[in-house]
Amino acid sequence: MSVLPQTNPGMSATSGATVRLKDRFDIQYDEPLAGFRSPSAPAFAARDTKAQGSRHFALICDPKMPPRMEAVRKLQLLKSYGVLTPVEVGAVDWAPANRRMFAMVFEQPLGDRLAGPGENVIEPWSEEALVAHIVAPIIQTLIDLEREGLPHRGIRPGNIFFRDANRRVAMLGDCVTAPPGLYQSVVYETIEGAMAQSHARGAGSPTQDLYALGVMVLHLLFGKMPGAGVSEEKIVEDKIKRGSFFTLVNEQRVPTGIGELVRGLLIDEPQGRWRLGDVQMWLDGRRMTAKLVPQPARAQRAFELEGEECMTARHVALALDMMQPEPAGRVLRGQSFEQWITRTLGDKQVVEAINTAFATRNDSTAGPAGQNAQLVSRMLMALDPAAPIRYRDASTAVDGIGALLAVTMLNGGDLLLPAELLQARLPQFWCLRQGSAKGEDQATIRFFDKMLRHLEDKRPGYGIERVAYEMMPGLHCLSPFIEQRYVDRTPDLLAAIEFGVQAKTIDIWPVDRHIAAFIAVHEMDVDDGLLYALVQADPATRILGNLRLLAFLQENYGPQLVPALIGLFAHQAKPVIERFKSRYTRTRLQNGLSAVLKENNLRKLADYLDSADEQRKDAQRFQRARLEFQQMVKQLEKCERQTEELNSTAKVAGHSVAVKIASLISSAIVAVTLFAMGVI
Amino acid sequence: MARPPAPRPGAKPAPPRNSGREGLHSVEVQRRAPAPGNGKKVTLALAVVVMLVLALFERPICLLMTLALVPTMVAWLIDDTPGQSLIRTVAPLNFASSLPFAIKLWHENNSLDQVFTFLSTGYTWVALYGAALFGWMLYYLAPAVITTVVQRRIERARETAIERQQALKDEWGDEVET
Repeated sequence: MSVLPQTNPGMSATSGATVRLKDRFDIQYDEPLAGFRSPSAPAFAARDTKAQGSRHFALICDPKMPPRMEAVRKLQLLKSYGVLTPVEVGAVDWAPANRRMFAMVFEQPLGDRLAGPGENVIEPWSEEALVAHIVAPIIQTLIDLEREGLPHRGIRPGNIFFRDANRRVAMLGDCVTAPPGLYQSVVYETIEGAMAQSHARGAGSPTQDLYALGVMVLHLLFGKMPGAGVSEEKIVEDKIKRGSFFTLVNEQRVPTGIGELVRGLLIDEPQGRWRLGDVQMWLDGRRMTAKLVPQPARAQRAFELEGEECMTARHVALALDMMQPEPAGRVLRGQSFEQWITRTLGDKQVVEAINTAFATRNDSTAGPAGQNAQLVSRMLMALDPAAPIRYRDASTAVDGIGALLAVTMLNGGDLLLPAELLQARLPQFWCLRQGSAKGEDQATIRFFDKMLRHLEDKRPGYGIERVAYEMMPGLHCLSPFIEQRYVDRTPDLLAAIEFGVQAKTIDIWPVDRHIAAFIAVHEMDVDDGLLYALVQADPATRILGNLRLLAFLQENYGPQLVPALIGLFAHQAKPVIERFKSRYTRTRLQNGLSAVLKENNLRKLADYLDSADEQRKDAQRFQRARLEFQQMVKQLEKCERQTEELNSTAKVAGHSVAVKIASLISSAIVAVTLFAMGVI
Repeated sequence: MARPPAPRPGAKPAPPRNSGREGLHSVEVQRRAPAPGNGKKVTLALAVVVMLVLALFERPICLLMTLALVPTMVAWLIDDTPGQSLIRTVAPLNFASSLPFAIKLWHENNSLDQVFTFLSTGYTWVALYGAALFGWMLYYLAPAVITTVVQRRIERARETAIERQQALKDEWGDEVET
């Protein structure tokens, strides 16, 4: 069978070593541009067919990493020169990988990269040049990004370009080809960000960009990355114990002027950290006064845990997180911990949160080990509310759960962990623990409640797949049938399914749980009944569910020709036609099927096979036929009865007839006799 | 029609008005039920009376009728049907065939000689007993004819029903039987 040509509008493979994106950009996959590549997205030269002489490059996203589509949309709206902004995005047939990949085309910056990717040792920058060429332009860009509510989450020397060839105006690099903060070193992450798994750090807020900017300033001042050569765990531990500034500066000399900026940007408490306005005022030459930041409660006596002497609740949480859940649970239930928390630490908020964590009901479906892990997770949140949600091997920011789930799915990981995390309502507990009565938290709680409902619904269109697509709107459809086709929007879905049928990756049911969930998330008009039909045991109902769902896609988005799908349904039409009880109706439908198939229209095929009028008539006629059959049964019984009674009744009737005939004849004889003999 | 007065509270319900008549009715039904042999006795009594009257006043005719009505007498003897169908079939024909001879005897020479003259010719016996024989045949053949006709009609109805059932099963399958 021939493989479908590219049918998605605006995306077509062209001749030679190029592939065309959206009828505009020719991406040359034999011309890699190493200078523009992102850690997981190689760069290739791209040519704008509508503007000669323009210089573009394309990043080809790793299909195992979900891109930040929300960020793409915001950047395209923003149109800032201070950050690499995708000019065009979309899936292309990527011949080197023999699959479809997601491509993003950017305009090439005139200047090169500040430092090579992963290059930790660089030429130190002077304070003046650093402020003028790096900090000031980046702050301006961050102000623009904040206006759109878009943290960059990729500020590091390897991801900074220059807008000009003279390297005088810095601009931010790619922030859309991978989950936020994925390639940030732990050094560049806040304590909370560093504690989370790299792909589950979440978008966070602009304060995390400012923190990264502070680290980058130190990096450029020193000419090498602060904390280089130290393990990630040690850096996090040191940041907690000593604070980020002292950990990263590590007794090196920082010029007084810029030292004030770095100190402000590296304040660990987000409330105390400098904001964009503060940095701008500093750039304008104003002297900043230190903000009063409430310090976490420090115990007078340390709590010993695994040889660690913990003085703060956050430090206890970190030590507990390092332990296995079982011993951690024993410690948390122990008397010494209770005494230390209530008497020694004396932080009322922490005590209250711990009581709430103990009182919160565990997910009853989890076993004793699961319930213990849930308790430990809630206790860690009670002790360190700003930290990410830590549950078993997962550690995720509340807005990073979607990426955690998506990356787990994309890489064939264990989905039980994120599912358990949601079922235990840990995100809701985390939100409540933030202590702010902001509507944002309430909205997040409602969102996760909704996700939990989706997760617990086992029908197609729901479940863990639905949660993944809801939480990661840019996630492409991960159905094994069509994953290679990289479908990230419903208009491309039917063509991909048609391709799957042609390539024989789909042989029976074209719509699986992933496709159903993908449609349910992206198409609000789809009736739940259609999704429910997909799991019915009755093959006819299931076929019609598949057919009607795909008919919906064809009607709304095309393509008009889906011969392989039509052929697939033609083979499956028998059980649907068999639903009609009348053999004549079935024969008529079977005979008329070929004409309908020729129309290549799934809606017409569905209506033809599933005509409500035809079904009603069939049912009515069947009822009448049953009644008539019963009448015939009665008729036969009557015949039997009559046959049995025939001898006796015929004898009586025959004798009666004989009497009557004899009477008639004799009367006639008497009359004739009397008349003939002249008696009357 | 006037409605019966409503019963007073606590009053005993009136007995049904026709409760006495039901007993009477059942007696009547019992009375009317044909007792086997009752009709025959009546017939016999009537015949004896008539023959006695005839023997007193018209002996030739009495002799003629006695000999002519032998088939009827035989029928009387062997008829065990509740409605005396055999007698009622044979007797009228037998009697009607005897009537011309009786009238002729009455009008012409009402003597025993004339009776023997009649009886000496074969034609008389054929006329008298032929009609009776026809009655006997009628009695025995009529049920058989009726059985054949009705049997055919039932068979046709059965065939029609089976054909229709088969047609329904052809169109709707075995499910139509449920």
